[in-house]
Amino acid sequence: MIKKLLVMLFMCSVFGHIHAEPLAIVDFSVDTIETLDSEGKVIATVPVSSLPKTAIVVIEKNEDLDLVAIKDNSGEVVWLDTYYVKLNQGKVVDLPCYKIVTTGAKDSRETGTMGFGGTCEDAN
Amino acid sequence: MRQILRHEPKALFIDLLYTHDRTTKADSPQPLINVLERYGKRIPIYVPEIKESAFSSEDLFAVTHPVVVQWQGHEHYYPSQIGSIDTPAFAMHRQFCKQTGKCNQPKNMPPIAIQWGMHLSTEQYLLTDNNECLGKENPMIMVSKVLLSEVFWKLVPEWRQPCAYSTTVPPTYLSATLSEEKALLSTILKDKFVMLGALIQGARDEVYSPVHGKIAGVYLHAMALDNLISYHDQYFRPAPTIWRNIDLADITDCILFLLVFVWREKISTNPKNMLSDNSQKRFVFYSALALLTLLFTVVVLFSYIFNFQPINWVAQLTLILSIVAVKIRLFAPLKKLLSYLKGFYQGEKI
Repeated sequence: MIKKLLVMLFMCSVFGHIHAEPLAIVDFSVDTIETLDSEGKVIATVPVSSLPKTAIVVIEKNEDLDLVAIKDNSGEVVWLDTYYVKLNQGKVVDLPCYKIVTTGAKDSRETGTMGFGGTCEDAN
Repeated sequence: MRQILRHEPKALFIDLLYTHDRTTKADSPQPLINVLERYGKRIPIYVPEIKESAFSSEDLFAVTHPVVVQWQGHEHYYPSQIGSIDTPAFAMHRQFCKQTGKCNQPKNMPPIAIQWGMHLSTEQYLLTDNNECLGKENPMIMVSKVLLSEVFWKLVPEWRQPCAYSTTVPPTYLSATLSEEKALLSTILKDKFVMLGALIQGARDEVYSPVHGKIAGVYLHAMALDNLISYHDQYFRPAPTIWRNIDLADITDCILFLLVFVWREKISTNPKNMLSDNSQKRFVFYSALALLTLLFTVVVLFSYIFNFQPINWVAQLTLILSIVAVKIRLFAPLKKLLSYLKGFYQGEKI
């Protein structure tokens, strides 16, 4: 019984270790890349050869802005656009076949209007 | 917006009005400003200029090009400028001319009488499920269906193509991660003039297209740009105004109507003699031929020489039918029936 538990614990630790493999940049799709701040403001455009050699460990990820943070050769934190880098792991967006939006008939009417939501209440 | 600009389009027009600042402390507009600054230096971004905006023009619109999307007094035509600011299609076409050198766009161009396309692009079939759209029918059949539904609107169901002509990318498609999907997106967006628009429930931004019915406003700009790139300075435009709202096309229509009615009057004053005498028969034939030639010449001159908006087809067809009806006596049985009924009614009275 104890043996079985030990094997299970060992397996869990191995899989846990594999899962915890750090997110890293393994390649670039461009020769020069913009380095950005955390809000996407351009700091500089640099050749990818001037960045640390791959795989570059990602220290932070911003899903909303599609940015990843790395440390450059001088140890400064810079952000890169994920569109131009290849990560060792990443999400896969499954795209179903969307129906094209169709137009309305000549006599179609919409007699309601959109509300402003709660933001106005917050502002006041 | 960022997801479109990554694909390096030739230009991007954002058909959104930044009127209200709905940002919160946790969600500032700075990332949006950064995107505009980052791409706006190499890709022209056109943003509607609005009279009152909660955003300062120094930050949000600093690197963008202003265009006008609100106007009045132009009926269904698409103007080139309002004040000194271009409308989106004309601004993008000006850029197209500069980059390609294929055309020249002077200032103060006349408005466009937009010609709406019917068929979907081949790319659209790779992007979306288009089963509700009309397929690739013969153009003549499609035109006939449109005419029938316009003339006999009470009898024939409204004909329309329910899908837009311009290639439409669903917004979620921009989040594609698979390499094939990203490659397809790139072929669709790279080096293209892209317009970003929305049809939001409760904030309808719709225009009427005779081909599609009610359609999102952004397609009006897309179709105007398509007309400009297809026809350059030979796009269809309104005929020059003569007096108030009456233009040259209206006057020409009236003259043609008068001519046909005078001709019909002459024929119908003594139809028996007219059609029994050989020389009179010849007169009817040649005068009808001359009238038809005149009608077709006017249509060709207006549409293809002067590039005026296509003349009132329904009116012209009625005129042609009216001329041909004399020759083929299309309504003779109806007339006979009417006179019979009239006689019958008078007989009953006596």
